[in-house]
Parts: sequence; structure tokens; C-alpha cells
Amino acid sequence: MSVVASEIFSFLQQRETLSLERHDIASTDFTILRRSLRLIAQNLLDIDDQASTDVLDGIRLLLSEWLTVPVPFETAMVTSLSDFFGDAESVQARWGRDIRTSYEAAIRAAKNLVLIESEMRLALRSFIEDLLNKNVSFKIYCHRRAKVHFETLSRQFEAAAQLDELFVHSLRQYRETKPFDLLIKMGPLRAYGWGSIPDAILTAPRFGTLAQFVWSGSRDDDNFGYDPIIHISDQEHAAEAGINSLIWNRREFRYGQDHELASSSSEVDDLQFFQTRYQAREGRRSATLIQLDNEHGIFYPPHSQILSFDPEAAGDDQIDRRVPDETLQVGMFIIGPTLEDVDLGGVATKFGSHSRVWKERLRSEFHSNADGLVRRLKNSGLNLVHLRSALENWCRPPTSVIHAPQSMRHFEILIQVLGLEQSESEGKSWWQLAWVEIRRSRGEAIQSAFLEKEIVEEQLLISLKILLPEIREKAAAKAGFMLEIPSGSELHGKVALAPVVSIEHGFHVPETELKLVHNLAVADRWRD
Amino acid sequence: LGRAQGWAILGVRTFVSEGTGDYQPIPGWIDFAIQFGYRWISNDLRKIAVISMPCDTAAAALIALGALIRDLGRAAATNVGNHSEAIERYARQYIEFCSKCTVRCKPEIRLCGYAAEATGFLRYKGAKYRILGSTTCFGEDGLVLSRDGGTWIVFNKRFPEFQIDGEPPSRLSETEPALSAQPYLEILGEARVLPSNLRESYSGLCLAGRSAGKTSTREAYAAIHFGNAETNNDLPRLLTIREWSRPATVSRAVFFNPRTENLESRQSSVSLVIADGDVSFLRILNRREFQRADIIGVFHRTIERNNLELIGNRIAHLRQWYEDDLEVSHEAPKAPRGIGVIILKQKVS
Repeated sequence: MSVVASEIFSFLQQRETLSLERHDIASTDFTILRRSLRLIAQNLLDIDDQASTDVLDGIRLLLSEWLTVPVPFETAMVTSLSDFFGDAESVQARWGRDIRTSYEAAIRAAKNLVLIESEMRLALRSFIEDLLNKNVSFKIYCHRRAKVHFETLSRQFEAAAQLDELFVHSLRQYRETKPFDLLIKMGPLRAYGWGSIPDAILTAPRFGTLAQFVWSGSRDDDNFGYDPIIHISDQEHAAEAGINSLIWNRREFRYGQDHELASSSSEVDDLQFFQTRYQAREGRRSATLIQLDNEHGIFYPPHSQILSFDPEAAGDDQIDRRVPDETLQVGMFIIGPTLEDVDLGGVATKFGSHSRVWKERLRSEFHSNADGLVRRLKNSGLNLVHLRSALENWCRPPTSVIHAPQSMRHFEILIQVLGLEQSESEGKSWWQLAWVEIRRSRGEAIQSAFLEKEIVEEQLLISLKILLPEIREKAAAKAGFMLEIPSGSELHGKVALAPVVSIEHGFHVPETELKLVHNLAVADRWRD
Repeated sequence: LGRAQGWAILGVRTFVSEGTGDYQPIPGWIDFAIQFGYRWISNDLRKIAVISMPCDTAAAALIALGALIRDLGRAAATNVGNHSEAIERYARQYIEFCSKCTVRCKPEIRLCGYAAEATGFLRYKGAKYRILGSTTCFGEDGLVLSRDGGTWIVFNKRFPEFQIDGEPPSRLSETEPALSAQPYLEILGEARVLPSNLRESYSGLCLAGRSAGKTSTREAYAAIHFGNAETNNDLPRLLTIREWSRPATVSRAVFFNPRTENLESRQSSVSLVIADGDVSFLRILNRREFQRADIIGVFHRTIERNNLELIGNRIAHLRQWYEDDLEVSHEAPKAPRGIGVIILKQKVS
């Protein structure tokens, strides 16, 4: 049974002050590793080729996870780095001596780290076991996929977690939690992105003590604990008016060596660095991730109206367009994200047929007069800083993806400049079909159906009303399912309904990746 | 209510259950919410209050309950004076627009300027009559209604006996049972209740529900019961919102559904709106019909950051034309720990 309001008020009434304990953990090698990778990232940021972007994505993923999840330091750290960069010689050949130096420093530090157990894990283990021995009621706030790294900290804790719900993974769960003694959080306090946690933990606490474990040098977001009422009043007035009356006492505990090194070398917090410099690059849009199962999710722009089914609603209202977190909630079903079998009668391009044509023309033009091509593209509005490197990348033959501009507008310009603009059947121009092909290669063929989203949705609505009794019956199992669209409809094929497992904000996603189903591990690359 | 009987010995008159079945004396936060509504002062300067809660609560409905009890003591808090006018407006809308309109019924698409459809039915002693047109007979204006296959002319002076279909009666007949003042007086002993108000509807108080719609809003409030050894009333029933009270009686508050953006009233005189939740609060701030009404927005802080920021940005925007109302803030009941309150009043230029 969920918590009632009087329990929360009674709990707050009993606490004159609340306690925020920051456990600051330093490690010389880990600091060197972070600093080296950040230096590399700073240099790669200005290079617009696919290889550099891939390396940047990889560095960001590794650092973000290390800073917010108690992962064990294993040889996989070293191999991950080697996989991204290759050997030192090729690093120097590609990006120069400075990056090679930083890379070698990172590898040395990583090798040192795997020799000992992570100081973070040691500190957490000791702290958690102490809580268990003292019978303190506590919970851990972490991402669902970080849970395993906490469970493996200690057998004693793993056993306790079997008996009691010790993890909180979402705002919704937090909202329904009864008051307890202590909350553990690893990583800086941030409202969005990696290691994010709701502002409510400071503005609407359900516990007396927040124990925050951070690698030294990590910084909380400046405005974490945002409260619209306090924010707009000056602090003096807030205190005078007694707004909220929640008082936090802050204490800091330090573990490990070289806190000064960590602080001095982290003038810029790693997570904030990537959030401000990397995620907000051209062509990326703020997005909300709707998680569909343990492995997949789909991105939508904020405030999207998503066609969905609410098992709890009445009658025809069950199918409606809803806004994530406003009217679309966990437990509902989104409709249509996997319309692989819908025959729209339009997009019938075979994988690769268009890309072969434009890539051949691009290669020919690039090799005969690269400077001229760059000039023509820039004059037409394709203004990428490193356009020549980008062109080299786009010349590469298709692998699992078709290397091409990230934005549709840039692609259209490219095709126009290459002189490939010609009409095609069914009212679509040639470049549009080629773009569909690129999207398919990036986000699975099934997603091309979303190019026709609005037409599909209107027709779907009619079909779904007919299917409503069947949808209700199948949705009772609370799992995803597919339904055949009834004959007689203008749509042919199947429609998918997928349950909403969670809704997460704090992503910046390339425009072209919106409304596509992604593996969650891939989705992490766009987390702020 | 077994435990409550024990409390009664100590002089506690009313008890509250929050859906657990366990009754307790009215807790501080519920008392604060009711008192906040009860002590709300409306004057010439429009006011907007924002209340932030540490958890999801029925505080908005409780504030509305306090304001409803306040209005039971105000002679001006009645629809009776405007009732005939409301029927005239309704009939004119039906005859001139809705009966000819081909869009059923999306005023926001049709851009006809009306907030809701006039379906063209009036009720008299429970029976339903369709409006056929208007007429002037012997120098008197009236409506032509359909009755038993024929027609029936009803002059304007008889409108007080009729009600718009789907709306509560403006005044109960002498034979119909009035609202009971008792449950309200047990909650707020100091309240003053005018007996006439127990027989008359009032649309000046509006509760803007949760973003999920009317049914979900009602369910959220239904967990709260006020009672003692003799009586037991859930919160929706006490609010007397149409369809929430059984048997149907007068209505002392109207409902705005933020999901459908429908205000369930044809009266144009809402003077206080209480919004439940961030979405509801932001929606009503934009509604044309509430631009002159005082607004109390209640939200809880266990919502996503972007939704918190939307509220913060809107408050910052409001501050261009509003300033802190320190006088009213001072008069307002003291908020328990965890509740934040700001009250803004229109700036005088």
C-alpha cells in the first residue's frame, strides 16, 4: 500500500534538520585516468569525423558510468580503451602527439587501477554493511542497470536485498516510498542525465540522512534541489516566510589520497563538461526516453503527443494522444513504434540501392576536385566546420550503417550539389527515398514507417477503435503484443503495443534518432 | 470509528481517514488547507497563490472545501440572481448557433467563441424539454419548448422554475431536501452558514482537477473521509460538485476538467479557482474565463524537473505584473513544515 500524506507530514514534523553527508573518495590513478580522457575529449570535440565521434561517445560512456555507478575496476577498462583508440602509433598518426601522450597516460593509470579494488566499492561496502549491522532502514537510489553493481558489493547486502526492497530507481517509486532513515546515492546530484536523481530528494525528503558517495572532484549541479517557489524569492525572504522550513546540515567525509589533485585537475566536472560541450552540439535535440522493456527504448521530443492506450481509462478514452509524464504514465501502452509490417505503399527502397548511387557520385567528385566540392557545398548551405573530413567519411562504403550527414537538410543539399535530384514515383523525390534508406540503416528498417506517422496515426485511430476489445484483453497480461490490422482498412499489416516501463528525461539525441527503437545501451550515448 | 470514540472523550468532534480505515483528529496539513481556503480574502486586486507540497495530496480539494464553507456564509454566493440570464444565454446559443452547427462539439476547432455546446434541453420538475425557438407573446418574451408532441410557451418570468439540462438547480424547491450544514460545521466550528445557501447553487468557486481527468480526480479525493460516531462523508460528496454528490442536490462548486479543458458551468462569474497539480495550474492561468478570478495553484514537488521549471518560469513571468502580498501572507494560516506558500497580488500602476 502506498504512503499516505499524513505519514510524510508527521515524518517531516519530527525532524528539525536533515543531514547531507558527502563521502568524497580520491584515487590518484583514477584522477589521472579521468583527466587524460577529458583532455583527449577536448581535442576531439572540434573534429567532425565519424571515427572521432565514435571515440568521444566511447570516452563519455566510460567516464559517465565510472563516476555514477560503483563498477569494479577490471581489465575490461584497459581493453575498452584499446578498442576505442587502437595502438599508440595509430593514435598519433590520426590525432597527433598530444593525444597520444594523454592516451598513454590513461592506459597506464587504468592498468594500475585494475591491480587494486575500487576505493569507491570499498567505501560503499563498509558503509552498507555497517548500516545492516546497526539495523538502519536505508535505500539506494540508482539506475536500474546499476543495481547489479551494488548487489555485488557484499554478500550480506545481496541477501538483505532479496528480502526487502532496498532500491529506488524512479521518481514514481520514490513518490510511493514510506519514510525511512537513510538514502544512499553514488555520484553528483544532478537533475538530468547520467546518475540523475529527482530534486525531490532535497525538497521533499522521505529520509533523515542523504549519504552521497562521489569520486573527488565531482560537482553537484548548481541548482539541484530546485523548488519553483524558493527559486523565485530571494533567500532572505524565503527564510523569513518560512518557505518549506526544511533545513539541511551538510558534512563531508574524505577517503583515499590526493584530494587536492582531484580538485585542482577538475576545474571542470567531467559530467558537466560533456553535458555542456558535447551533448548540445548541432542537430541534437532534447529528448525523453520511453523504456519499453529491459533492453529497448524510444526517444520522443519533449511534450510529444504519443498515440497510446490506457488500460485504466474509460471507453473510447483508452486510446488517445498523451504527453509523457503528464498524461502518459508507466503502465500504459504506446502504439505503433514497431510498425514493421505496415504497408504504406510508398517506401519500398531496398537497402543500399540509393546509397550506392550517391556514394559513387560523391567519391568521383571528391577525388577529382575535393576543394571545388567543398566550396559548392558550403555555398549551398552545408556549413560543417570540418566538411572535408566529413566528406571523406561519407565516401566510405556502407557497413551496418550508411555513413551520411546527420541532418536531413544537409543530406538534401549534398544530393542537390551532386546533381542527383530527380523525381521518383509516388510523389517522393529521389533524395527523400535515399534518406529513408539512411534512416533505416541507422534505426532499423521498421522505423521508416514513422516517416508517414501522421497519416498512419489517423488511419490507425480508426482501426484501433475496432480492435479495442481485443486490445483490452491482451493488455491485461501487461506485456507487449502485436495485432493484425483488420482487413478493409487502408493500412495493411500489424500494429504493436508496447508497455511503458519507465519515462526518463535528460537526453540530447540527433534529430534522426528520434522516434526510433534503440537498444538501451546505445541510448546511453545520448544521456546528458 | 472505534478509536475516534476514544478521541471524542477528549473533545475532538471530527475525524479524518486517508483511505487506511484508521481515523484520527484532523491533522495539521489538512487543517492548514481547509483554513487556507476558508480565510482566503477576495478583494479588488486579483491574487494568485502557489502552494507547494512535499507529496501528492488532496490539498487542492481541501482548500476548495474551506472556500466552500466560507461561501456558505456569504449572501452574495448564489446563482439565483443570474439564473434567468443564464437560461436566456443558453437558449440563444442553442437557437442561433449550436442547433445549426455541424461540428459536435469542438468549440476550440469551430472557433465559435463558446466554451461548451448548448444541447438545447431544459428541465422542469425532473422532466426534459427541448427548446424549439424563442417567441414574444402579449408583449412578453419567452421560449417555445416541445412537449407531448406539441409546443409549450414558457415566459421568462418562469425561468427560475427551470434548470439547464446537466446543470444543478439554481434553487431547490421546498419539497427537495437541502444540503446539511452539519458536516461543514463539524469540520469548521467557527463557520457561519446562511440557511438559504443550503438550497441554492453557486458557481463562483471552481475546482480545476488533475490532469488525468474528472474520474481520476474524484478517486484521489474519495480516500479522504470526515466523520464521527454519527456521520461519515467523503471529500467529493462534501464538495457538492455535480455528479459527485448522490443524491443530486445543489452544487456549491463547479469543476474544470484540465484534460478536456471543459468548465462544467454556464455561469460567467467564477471568482476563485483552485487548481490541483502543475498541469492544471498552468492551464487555468491561460484560460480566458479565469482572467479575473483569484487563483490558488497547488502542486507537489515530487514531479520531474522540467515540470518544476515550467511552474518556476510561469511564476517569474507573473511577477512582471504581480508582487508579494505580504499582508494576506501574514493573515494566512501558518504552513506546516514541508509546505511552501507564496501569495501574489496584482501591482497597482
